[in-house]
Amino acid sequence: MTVFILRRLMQSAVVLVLMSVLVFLGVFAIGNPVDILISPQADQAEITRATAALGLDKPLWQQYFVFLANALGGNLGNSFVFNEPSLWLIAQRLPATLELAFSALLIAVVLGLPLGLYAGLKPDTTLARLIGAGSILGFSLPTFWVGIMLIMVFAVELGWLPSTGRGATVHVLGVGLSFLTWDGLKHLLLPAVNLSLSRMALVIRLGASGTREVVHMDYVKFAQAKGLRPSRIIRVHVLRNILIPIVTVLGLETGAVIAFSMVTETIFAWPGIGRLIISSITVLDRPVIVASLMMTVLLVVLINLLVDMLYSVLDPRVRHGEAPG
Amino acid sequence: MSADLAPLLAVVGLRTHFFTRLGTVKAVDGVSLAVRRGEVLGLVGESGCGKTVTGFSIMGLVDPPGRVVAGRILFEGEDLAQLPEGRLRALRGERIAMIFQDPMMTLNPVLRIATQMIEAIRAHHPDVTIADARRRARDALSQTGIPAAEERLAAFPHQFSGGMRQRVAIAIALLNRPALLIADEPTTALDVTIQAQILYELQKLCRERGTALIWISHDLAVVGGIADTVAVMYAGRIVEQGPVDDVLGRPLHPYTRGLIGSVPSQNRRGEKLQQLPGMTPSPLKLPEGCSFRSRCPRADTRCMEMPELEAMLPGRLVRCVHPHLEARP
Amino acid sequence: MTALNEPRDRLEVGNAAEMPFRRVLADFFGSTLAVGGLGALSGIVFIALVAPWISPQNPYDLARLDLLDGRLPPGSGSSDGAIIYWLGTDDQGRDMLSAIFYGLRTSLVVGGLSAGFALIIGAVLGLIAAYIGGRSEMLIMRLVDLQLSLPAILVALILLALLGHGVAKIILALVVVQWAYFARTVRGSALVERRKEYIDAARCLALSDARIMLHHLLPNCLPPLIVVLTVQVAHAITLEATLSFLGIGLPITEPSLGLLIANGFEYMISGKYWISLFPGLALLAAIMSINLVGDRLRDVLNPRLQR
Repeated sequence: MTVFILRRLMQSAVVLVLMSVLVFLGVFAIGNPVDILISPQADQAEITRATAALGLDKPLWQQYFVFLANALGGNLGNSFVFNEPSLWLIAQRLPATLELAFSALLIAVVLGLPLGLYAGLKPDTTLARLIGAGSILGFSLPTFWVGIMLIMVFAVELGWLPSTGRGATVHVLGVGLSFLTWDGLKHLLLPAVNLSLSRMALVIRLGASGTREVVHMDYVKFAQAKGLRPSRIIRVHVLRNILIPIVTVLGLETGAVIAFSMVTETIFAWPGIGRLIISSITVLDRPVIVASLMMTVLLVVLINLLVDMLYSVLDPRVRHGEAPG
Repeated sequence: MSADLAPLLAVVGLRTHFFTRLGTVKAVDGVSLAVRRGEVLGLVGESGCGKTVTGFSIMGLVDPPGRVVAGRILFEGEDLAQLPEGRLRALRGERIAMIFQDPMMTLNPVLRIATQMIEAIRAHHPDVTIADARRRARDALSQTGIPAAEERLAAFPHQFSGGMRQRVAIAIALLNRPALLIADEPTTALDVTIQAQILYELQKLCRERGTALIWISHDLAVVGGIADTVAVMYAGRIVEQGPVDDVLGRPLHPYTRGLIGSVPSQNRRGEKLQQLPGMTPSPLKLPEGCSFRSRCPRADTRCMEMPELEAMLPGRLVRCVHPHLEARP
Repeated sequence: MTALNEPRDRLEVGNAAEMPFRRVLADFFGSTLAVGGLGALSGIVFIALVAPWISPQNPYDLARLDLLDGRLPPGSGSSDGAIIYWLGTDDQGRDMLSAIFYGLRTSLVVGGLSAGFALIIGAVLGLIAAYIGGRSEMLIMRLVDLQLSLPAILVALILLALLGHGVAKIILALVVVQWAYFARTVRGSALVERRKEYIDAARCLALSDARIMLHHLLPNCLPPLIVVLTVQVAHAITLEATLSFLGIGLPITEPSLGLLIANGFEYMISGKYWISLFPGLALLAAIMSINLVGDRLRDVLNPRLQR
């Protein structure tokens, strides 16, 4: 087990280093690296001064290490637009993104799992076919378009829910959480639903196909031969087995959810990291671009790591070193 | 052996058909058999003859598109074919139990052994505490010859070998002391040496508890070693039935004779191995009349009509108009 | 394995090239949804092909646009009476119908090309990994794992933020993001196939590695590959639209459905829904039809789910 963890940690470190190199090199590819650290409005004298001070006249690889050292120390430059440390801007917005992402996943599982289970147990009913068609729809609909439609229907036409922004927050342990207030929930609902749809479709499909396969397995028959009630068979025998692939995929998808929140946050003007990335790209606030992209990658890598650990807990075959399946 | 001569289980005219897209498969088409308390019945036949489906039909575990369409399954005063699902569930695992062929797949890979055993007890005896159930499970494991039972309880199936898993399955099946155990090819997937062990264990356990056993197999040698009576199935019907030594020593039906004759030990060294010509017909396209007609060296026009199962000799049932009544050459 | 002894209409998991093409076709057409999807897809591809000829107006010829015609609802006539704006106009006075036709064209081209290139690269790498094995396999599969652990949209975003705008750059970014799926799929099937006897036979004949990989292994890995291809084309189209919507994808000079939708977003509140709605529906139709076809293909080509 420890070997497993160590290996995964090393892999994650490799990914991060690679990404940092990529981003860093990209900065040089765009043009003058000076631009990333010095505001374009600076005059020539300032630029020359800053260049020397920041060591931008040194060789490339040296600069990379300076960059890395700074990054590890928490200094990722100041935003041109806000004139504040990038890292601070990101930290401010992180709770909002996480709140949105987890709400979306929660909705996806809570709604998707029962639907998928049903579709797998009774595949020939009309409801199951509807669920199947619906899941293809959920899969195909581009997130951004659904968001727009949601706004149009629920906010513009019906006026039930607000279309932008985050609601009132309650501070827990210094972090602002908005799902604890009624206003916050109202603001959270549309974006979370928007973000959850394609994951929900995934959960439904995995649940249905997994259930269909598991139901034919010998151990289900054996459970029946023991005289167990169907509810127990489904709850304990079937569910535990389909949960493993679902959790794995969903866990890996969490990263995608966070990445996709860029879209939802932009549409709903949700103050999270995603929106920060897009807006900073639009206004070419380079330090923030670099910082927010790096942080998002870090987040994704961390989550992948956690999911791998979770997977090994859920599937005892992995824990004991045997190949699953 | 058994003091009670009335049958524990009496299957009368069982028909189980599968209604598929390509046609109706008559997997079991008129099977009657009986098992007495403590008796071991061997149900023998090739793959596809319907022996497993017979076992499932008794348990009420036939999946759609299959269904029991006719017949009675009399067990301890009730007709299983007519019982509602709730009552059948109460009987399964409590009065009738079943074990399957592949021990790898019989146990749920993500649940501990203890969980899978305790649930079998508590499904029928909810008032038994978990601690008590665990104790019973541990004892059952030891009795099937599994060492260090306490640790084994906490383990997962993949940590066991094939033979051990089958022992666990047997232990689970016998937990509630059922009157009848249906074993569907339980040793086929195991190594030969393990086979003998499992065979021995099962025989001992059933004898000790007076559990009746239906042993489904294609392996005549194994059946010969464990059964009291044997029924030979072909294409969904029983073609011969009787005490095991009689049937194996003096087979009456041409199919049985062919089966026995093709076992290597029955043949002389250096001679060509006897074989049953042809192949089992597809259940979708059974020949009219006697299903064995297309492969039987004795077939003639009389075989165009399905023969009835008759007692040619005392205690010996045969479904054939040309049985080998002559003494064995 | 099932314990029931009756025969089932079951396909052997074996040499996929033996699977009768006709049977696959017949199975495919068994689902009305899939047939519908295929029909819709053909229609869309056709439209995309002939877009320049069937569009009432060239939406990207700036000279012919009339700002006065901007934001007209569907069904209005143009101010010079020449054409009817069946689906309305956007804020620049572009005919939505024409814009959609051109947009579909771009989406399909970008999606198809990127998936195609990714397929070639991924398939080659996957074959090498499976057949040659050893160090190459380890290296390739590590890369694949790396690629797959990062969300596609994020990587594409990073690449485009660095590379800038342009059709070729988008296709490049999409290829980078997609090749890993193909590589993994091909490697998986190739590993299974490699163990089969016909490969040994080919080796005994002293055929070159490349020949064995391309002529013997690859055809048998096709079924899952085809399924992945359809899924990926749909993904690529969605991804490109999303990126364009965010302003990071195709430049304003290249027509894109995502961009059209983005343009129309601000007019939603004032009720001018058509600027976003219709491009969205067109996008949806394209993606749905591809997914329907791909879904059906997957069911039909998967031996385990056969009944």
